[in-house]
Amino acid sequence: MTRAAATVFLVGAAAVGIGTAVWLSAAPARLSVEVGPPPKSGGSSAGTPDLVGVTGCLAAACHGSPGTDALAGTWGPATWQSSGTCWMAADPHRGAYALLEATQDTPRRRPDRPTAWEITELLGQKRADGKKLEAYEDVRCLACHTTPALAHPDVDRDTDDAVERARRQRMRGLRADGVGCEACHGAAKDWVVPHTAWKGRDGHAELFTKYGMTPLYDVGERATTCVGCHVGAPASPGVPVRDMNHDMIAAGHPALNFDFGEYHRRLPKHWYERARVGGHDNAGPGSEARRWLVGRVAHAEAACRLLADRAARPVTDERSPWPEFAEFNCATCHHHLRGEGPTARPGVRGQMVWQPVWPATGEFGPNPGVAQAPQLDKLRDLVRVMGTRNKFPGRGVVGEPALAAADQLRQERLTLVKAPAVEVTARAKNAFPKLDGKPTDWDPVGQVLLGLAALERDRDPGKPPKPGFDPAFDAVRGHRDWPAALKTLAPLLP
Amino acid sequence: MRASVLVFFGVLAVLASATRQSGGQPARPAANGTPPAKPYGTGMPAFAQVPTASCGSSPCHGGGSVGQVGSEHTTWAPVVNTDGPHDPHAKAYRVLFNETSVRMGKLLGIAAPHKEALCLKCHAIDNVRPADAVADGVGCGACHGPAEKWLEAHYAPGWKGLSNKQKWDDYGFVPTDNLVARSLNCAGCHVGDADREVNHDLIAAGHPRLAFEAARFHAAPQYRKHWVEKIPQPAFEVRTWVVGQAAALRASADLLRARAERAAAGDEKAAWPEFSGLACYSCHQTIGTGDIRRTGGQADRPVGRPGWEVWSNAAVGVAAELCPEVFAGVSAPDLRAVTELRKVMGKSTAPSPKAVAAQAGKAVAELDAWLAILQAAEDRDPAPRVSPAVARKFVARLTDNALAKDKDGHTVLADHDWDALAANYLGCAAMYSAAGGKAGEPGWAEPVKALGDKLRFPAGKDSPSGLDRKGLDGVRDGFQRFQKLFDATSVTRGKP
Repeated sequence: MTRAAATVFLVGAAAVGIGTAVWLSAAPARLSVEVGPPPKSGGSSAGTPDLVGVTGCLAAACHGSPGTDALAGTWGPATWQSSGTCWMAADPHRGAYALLEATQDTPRRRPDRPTAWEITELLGQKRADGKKLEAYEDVRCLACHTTPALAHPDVDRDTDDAVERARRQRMRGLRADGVGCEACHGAAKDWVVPHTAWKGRDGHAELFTKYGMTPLYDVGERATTCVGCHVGAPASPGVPVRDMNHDMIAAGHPALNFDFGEYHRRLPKHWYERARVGGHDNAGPGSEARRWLVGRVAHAEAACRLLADRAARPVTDERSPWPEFAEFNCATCHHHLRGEGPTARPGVRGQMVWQPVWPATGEFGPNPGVAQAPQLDKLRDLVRVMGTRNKFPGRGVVGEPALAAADQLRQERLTLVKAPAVEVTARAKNAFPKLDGKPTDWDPVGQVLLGLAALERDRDPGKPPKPGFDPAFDAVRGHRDWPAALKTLAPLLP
Repeated sequence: MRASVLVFFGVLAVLASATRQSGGQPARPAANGTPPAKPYGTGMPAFAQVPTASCGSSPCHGGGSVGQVGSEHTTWAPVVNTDGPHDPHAKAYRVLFNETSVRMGKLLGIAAPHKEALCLKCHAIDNVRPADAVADGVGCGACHGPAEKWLEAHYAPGWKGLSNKQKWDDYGFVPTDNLVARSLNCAGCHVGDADREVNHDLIAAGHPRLAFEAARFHAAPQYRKHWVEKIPQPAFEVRTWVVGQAAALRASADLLRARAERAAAGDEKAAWPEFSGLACYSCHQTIGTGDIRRTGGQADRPVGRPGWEVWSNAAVGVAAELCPEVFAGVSAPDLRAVTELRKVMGKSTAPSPKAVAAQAGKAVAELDAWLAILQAAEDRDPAPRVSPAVARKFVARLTDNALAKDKDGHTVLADHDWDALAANYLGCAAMYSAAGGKAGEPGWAEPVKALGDKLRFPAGKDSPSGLDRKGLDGVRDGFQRFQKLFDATSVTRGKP
């Protein structure tokens, strides 16, 4: 962990250097603003981003004070003053862009992780001039490896407008910050000054809305923000499509096995969780269970919206194949073929199984908490469309049920965010299926285990820890013998 | 449509003759001035089948001397020597009762596989009467044709005077002496056709995948032949390999056409894309270790998209290019429609079935025209004398076909898919055998064995599980060893 943190820090430090250099080189262009036409109202044309950038938040008096306490695992109201420092030092989002700049000589960070250079070599995308399209030039990569708004194609286009040209140059420079503050908190131009004066707890929701700051204190909004990249999202105003598909996985990009609760837990926190606006309690009893369940529902919603978007793209779009194999559980195809008899796999033999956005879609059969929930009937319709036909569902038949399911899931998320902790915990516990030894594979088993672990973390500190998690994690990590792994999970069920 | 194909081929032949003064002659026109558009022996004639027992009477083909003329049925059936080699076709019906078949039946909702038309089409003589004659398995009529017309004619005077085409057209007899007719007949079950197929549902339920390679099947050690090949080596095995390549691809394209037509017609039961037509191990491979197998952009399909029938496409180009070496008076065909079909299939994971059906139809016509030319050449010269150097030439081209250079000049695999590697390897192995095996080419023995071992599935697995980048480097080195052998023996490369 410390070694990983140190690596992140070094990468971060290097990127700061790059960022500064770009900033300096942009300075003369900024001077030309004086003689150019006056800035237009709104500052930006046709969705070109106008971000403050990480450096705008990191003044020593703002979020750039030393982060010793937070990095050591002690959080309090003062954590906010070192948010930027902590992020800079330890947050993996910091290095997201640096990964894209890999060259032929860049070693792999891990032996099992091909570099961006290797991946783009295989993807074979070409620029207009016929040369290789590098990862840092590819909107598909930039959309999640930097603050998504900065991936806007206009940023790379030339313009006659001197002010606009200067801004675009500065925006290109900001990409090197990685997935920066504004990626999650929202474009800061309008709130960077006012938010320093927001005091107390009341009226925050209104202020966040008024100034366009993302209300990350709301766990549902937080999860939705994460899944925009960690699952994917259709294009939205100013932000290009975020879609990491099977072509990219085949070329070497890791598959997105996102679990909001688990990722959230592992992230070095640069914030202080506390009861805040509208009674959102992110640190009290039951908050782990809520994070986990809300995260899974937000995940499912994002998956449905992405699916609808993929289905709606034109057949001529060469980067949007259909069927999109990334929609399906990897292991339904990628398994060994054993000599004796068919291999145990979930679902109908020989057919692909839609990705398990568990617990919304159980591979273990109906579970009482979710699969029969009347408010999620559209999701069950979608699962049928995606999984029960001999043919791949055509582009035309998927979009409508996917969007209907997404809307129901959104409603479910809003309900779960507001519901009392006791009720959410009860629903989380009820969402676990009976593990009746049905054939399974990595995806559902991993998802169940991470859910069980989230519930376990809600445990009363006075009670002894539940035994059996270590063997379960070992069994899932080893991913060899699924029936055996399932057996390790059974005693952990609530 | 048919006329346009004829015209196309006519033009092709003229072009070929104009541009090539030396080397193979253009296909000789048939008696009526144009080469036939279609080989005889595709599909099944519309005559009644006759039970196998009818052929096995002792004065006919049921004599008591295994391996002798007059004892063909005895040799074929596992009756005289049940433990020794026999013809696996004789067991085709019986396997429908085994554990795998019963389990498959359960999974597919088939109560009795041995009564199911889907299974019996290939595990017995299709449509044989009386119905219980299916118990003979893939009996005589399945390969020799329905005997309604020829049963009495084939020992009557005048039979030997008939041409192969007359025997087929008028009597429904499959002239299996002709390798084209023979291979097309094999491919009907071993690859499939419009009426017979092993699809992904069947494979997922437990049926072995189909991977037909005529030369390999002929050389199977457990296969006790009930006939004597009339073509001398090395011509026999080289021809079998060439014809097998063409016939397997023809059947693959025709099966694709039939599937695409069903999908285009909106048939709810027609799967599309049908996975069994795609390379198995492009999906069924180990993942998650960061192990990228492709070495960089050689195979003409995007990453992450399974290739169409890599098994029957990978080496067919070598067969097309070098077929004039073993078929006198034939020139190398230009398989343009096939190339275009590969492009259509590579364009997306689920190309438009209508476009695929149309292009597959053109590819079938093109392959039929090629097969017809090969067939005619074979009938003209059924027992050619061919120099052993021909086998070397094929191996040299097969290794060139398996390997490529990356942009830095390093030798890499042209296509890392196991099907492509195995197809090229089996071609080399067939040539080794054609050249006389260890006696003819002692220097090949070890490289052939080593490469085969590298491609063999691990024990207990039905896929090249664990064939990682390192393993593939070994396969590349294996092909390179062959290449070096031929550099030493100075075989002329390139187009003949």
